[in-house]
Amino acid sequence: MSFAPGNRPSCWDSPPRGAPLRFMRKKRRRTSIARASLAIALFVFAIPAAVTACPICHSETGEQVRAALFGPNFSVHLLSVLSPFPIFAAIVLGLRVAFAPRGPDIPRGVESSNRSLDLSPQEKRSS
Amino acid sequence: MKDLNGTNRGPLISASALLGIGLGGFVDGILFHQILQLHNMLSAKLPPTSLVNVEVNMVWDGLFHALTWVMTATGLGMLWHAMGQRDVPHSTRTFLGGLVLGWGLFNFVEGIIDHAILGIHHVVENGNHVLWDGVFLASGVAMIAIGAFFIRSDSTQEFRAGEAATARR
Repeated sequence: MSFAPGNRPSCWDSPPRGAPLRFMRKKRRRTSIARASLAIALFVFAIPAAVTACPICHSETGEQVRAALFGPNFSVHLLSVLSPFPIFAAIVLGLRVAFAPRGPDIPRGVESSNRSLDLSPQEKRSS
Repeated sequence: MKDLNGTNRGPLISASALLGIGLGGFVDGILFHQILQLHNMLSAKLPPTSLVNVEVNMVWDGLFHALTWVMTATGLGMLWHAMGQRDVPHSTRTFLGGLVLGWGLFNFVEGIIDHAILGIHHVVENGNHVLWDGVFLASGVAMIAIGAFFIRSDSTQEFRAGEAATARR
């Protein structure tokens, strides 16, 4: 994009000669903000319609996506995607049950003190 | 099964296995679905050859990731709860064993259900998918075996040794 020298936007004007440095920095910042805004606006308006294809987009492609997603196979697809997860949950539950304590629960301290009586002679000597 | 030393490893093993399932699911989803794009959730039924099919697969991938996130978050919650229990040992070996076991369980169960039974996708859609599906299943079995070995070896040797040391003190 180019402008004729006399037709430039005011924000592109060079600062007057002898202007303080602070004024020049402010001008430059405004210029870069203006350019960034212009670039964003161009990008947004230049997006082809096909790109706005999200399932909640109001576009032709978005409607096609919704139709394919919630078509007659929706429940089959949903069940297919969900199916491994209850099995994972069941296996984890099984692991928890398999390693669950059985029998009377002896407090750890008590058991440790009892076990200390069962030490081998070598262990007793070292203790 | 309460260990001989009076500790209860059930909560630690189940929590770490659930975390492993979730993390294994994320590896699958991030590496195979997104970075390498070898397959998507329904890529065997809806080949990602058009924008609409890519978008539909993306939605199902998202649902899969959401459920994987739920698994991971639940595993974290269970781990937090387990660490608060006095009889649950803080064993790194058992924890790592559970993580590897969980990852292997993910590969094995997902491989059996999604790849073999339902056939909604394969590890590699183009080419010899039977071979790669087999490799995926074998990796699951191997990881289950490694995880189980870690867990078992902890209970039979180091665990008792650690308890003997505790008893000596």
